[in-house]
Amino acid sequence: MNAPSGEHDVIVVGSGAGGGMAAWRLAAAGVKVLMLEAGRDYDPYSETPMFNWSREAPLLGGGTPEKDFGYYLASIGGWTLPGEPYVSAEGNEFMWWRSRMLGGRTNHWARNSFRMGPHDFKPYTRDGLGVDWPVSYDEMAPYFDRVEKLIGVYGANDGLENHPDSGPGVLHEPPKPRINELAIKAAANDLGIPCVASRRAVLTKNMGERQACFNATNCGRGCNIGAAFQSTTSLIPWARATGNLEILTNAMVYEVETDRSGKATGVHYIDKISGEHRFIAARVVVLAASACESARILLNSKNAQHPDGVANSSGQVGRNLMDTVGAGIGAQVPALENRPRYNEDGTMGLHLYIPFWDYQRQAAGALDFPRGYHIEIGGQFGEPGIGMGGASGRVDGYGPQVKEDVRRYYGSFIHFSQRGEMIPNEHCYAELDPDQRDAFGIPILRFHYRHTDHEINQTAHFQQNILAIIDRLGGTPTYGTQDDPKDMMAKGGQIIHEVGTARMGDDPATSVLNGSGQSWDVPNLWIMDGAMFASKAHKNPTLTIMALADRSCDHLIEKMRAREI
Amino acid sequence: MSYTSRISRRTTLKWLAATMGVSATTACGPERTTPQEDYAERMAKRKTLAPARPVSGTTYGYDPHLVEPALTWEKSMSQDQLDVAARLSDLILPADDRSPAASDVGVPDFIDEWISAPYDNQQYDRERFLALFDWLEQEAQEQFDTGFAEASVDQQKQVLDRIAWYGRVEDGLDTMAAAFRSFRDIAIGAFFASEAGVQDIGYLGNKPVIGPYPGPTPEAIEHLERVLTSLGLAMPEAKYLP
Ligand SMILES: Cc1cc2nc3c(=O)[nH]c(=O)nc-3n(C[C@H](O)[C@H](O)[C@H](O)COP(=O)(O)OP(=O)(O)OC[C@H]3O[C@@H](n4cnc5c(N)ncnc54)[C@H](O)[C@@H]3O)c2cc1C
Ligand code: SF4
Repeated sequence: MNAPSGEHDVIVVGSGAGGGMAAWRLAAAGVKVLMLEAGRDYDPYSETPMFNWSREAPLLGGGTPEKDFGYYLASIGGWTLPGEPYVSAEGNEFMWWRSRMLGGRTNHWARNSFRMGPHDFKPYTRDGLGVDWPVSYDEMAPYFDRVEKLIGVYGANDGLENHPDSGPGVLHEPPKPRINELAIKAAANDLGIPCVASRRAVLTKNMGERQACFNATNCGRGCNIGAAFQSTTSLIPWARATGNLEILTNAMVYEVETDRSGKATGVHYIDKISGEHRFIAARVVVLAASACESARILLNSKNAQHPDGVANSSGQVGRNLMDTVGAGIGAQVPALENRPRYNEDGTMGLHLYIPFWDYQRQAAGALDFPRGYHIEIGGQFGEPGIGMGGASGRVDGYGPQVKEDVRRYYGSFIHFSQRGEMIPNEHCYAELDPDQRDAFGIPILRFHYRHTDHEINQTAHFQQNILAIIDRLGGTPTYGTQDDPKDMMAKGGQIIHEVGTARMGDDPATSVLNGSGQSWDVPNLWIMDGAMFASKAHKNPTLTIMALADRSCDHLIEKMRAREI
Repeated sequence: MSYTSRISRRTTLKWLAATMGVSATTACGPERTTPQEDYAERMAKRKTLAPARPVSGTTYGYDPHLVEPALTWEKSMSQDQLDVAARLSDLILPADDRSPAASDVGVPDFIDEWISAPYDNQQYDRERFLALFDWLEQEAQEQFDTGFAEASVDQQKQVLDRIAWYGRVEDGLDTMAAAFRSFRDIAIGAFFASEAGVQDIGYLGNKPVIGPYPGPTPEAIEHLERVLTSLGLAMPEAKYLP
């Protein structure tokens, strides 16, 4: 797959959530697409270790620096990539998760798919912080419906403030909750905190060739029956089937070329197999290499006309970097010891979650932080392994009591992950390191990151409420709690929801893209990944990346048909 | 491995005394054996654990075969070390009416795989675990004149009791106690991850369940109801229940 035929109109860089959606929508509309992907080709049908036991993997499948989240995770890469370093500026710490493979991170993401709501698109209007999006929820709603229907999302319509219902018939039935989720729900509800069906991009009914989830096998390994959404079992094969998508893997793009008229002419890339540098021309360039990588390509596309990088007349490329605010608390609940055993795999991920509930008091000024967070909850009879879900940390000494204690404690643990909104601030950005280059000779990114009181106070609210839930269940915290909420917050990037580095807006002076995802400066350059985000709602970003990409494609196709580009 | 480099201060003192005794008696005449000489001979012959082989092989890389995993490094523990690891893991996880002992399901082999892995975390454990094995051996030799693996269970327990229990770790042995706890964590994980361990703990997943997920069994729901009642909590609405 190393010599493109040259028949394409549009180059799409990246094959993950954004690139996959762009390729599918464009190819389905009859546009000839060439996809350039830095990773290798990946075949989920033959490469997914569906039923492998942990004991069949080295080190019981546990994490190593090469497979941070475990041997079986369908990811080539993680916090580090060989030959492709990144750095954080002194006194800053940012973690950047990258995966080099066809399908990118969609092969292993957790599939949590919460919809952004009306407050989320107009945050500035609500509280005067950050910026509003150039689109409203009402404009986005049909795209959310369309994408949820396309990729398949389970969940329920609970009619909660800023957690919009989906259109009729869109959602798949959510799976029944497990015991610990029900216990958490009972305690949360008792305290006035909602706990409802989670939303995940997992089918619970068959859809064409994609089968309903069969309630076993970790989704992070990928899903070879197509139940868990990943671009490699849906968007990419569908796009290929149209005959309009050509894919070039091992193609590392590093520059967008522009001409005197200010239009993009194509991209430069390195063929990783031969090491050759090549140029491919195209009528339109779509970047979807992931938020920070797309910004890196733009910043590296410097020329006389664009001394600070292409599409960067606003100076906003790389700025406004945001990640989800994250913290985690675990607890042990004596009342859940020695629970009756049954199969708790279910869809492997969340069946219930806690949506943000305090909007009213917030609007009334009763909270000391803006915006919201949700809580991903869990605790179940999982596959035994090192740590035993917390049980092995509670044994003492040796002898017959050890086995007894592990049996007793197994399944008695619960955990809570805060997933919160972050307000963009001037201290958070990615820039090209002035000196260092990667193994391909491309300048690497240097990150700057800092939280403010908004995020810290939000975390304190999370801790306080979780401690109340744990207490209501008679449990004791086992990890995560801190006197100073700062000490429990995940590092920038660590929640892997990085967005905002080429934001959209109404004003070319303060944004990189218009409301369609089109560069203000370079009309035939579009960005369709998390870089577009004007804010980072607490909702996990991927569903929104796809809904925005879907909408951007409508506008792009329109403009191509009208010969505007 | 040099004998003297492994002995503790307490042993060194005994050894010096014995050596002095030996010289004194040999000077006395032709008798071949005296109690002191016996002791010295035993001490000289006493077992030290054969050392581990150096770590060899490579890490598995960023893109290993996921469906058919393979080890890319050699196991490196000596037979002596495996014997100690086996006795230690069986003391932690003895056979009972629900499952066999740890060594029956290969826990020592997993320990070997673990500490032979060329990753920093595992190499950190390697140093601690090998030191733990040596310490156990040395203490058994010193107190009971036998290797740890050959000692009686009572004798093994006497050694282990000095490091195994929270709040009862002998002064100066905190490092050994920490190594023991890490060893225990890994042994427990490896044991319950085995087929017999999975059965024992009652993990019933990793089997396809076609159709909607049925949720908890009636028995599990009844248990939850009792739990919630005891906590003064209401059961969630019917739509959340099976
Ligand atoms: C463990 C984990 C769990 C997650 N869980 C969730 C979740 O539950 N919900 C959620 O919403 N999000 C989740 N995410 C985040 C989610 O994966 C990302 O938001 C999403 O994949 C972003 O899509 P993307 O298309 O921007 O980037 P990616 O999916 O990363 O795809 C980018 C692609 O571009 C390629 N590429 C990069 N650079 C270049 C280049 N220079 N030239 C050519 N190609 C290039 C990459 O190789 C990659 O294939 C999770 C992530 C991880 C790692
Ligand atoms: S749990 Fe369901 S969705 Fe997840 S990988 Fe298994 S079959 Fe696929």
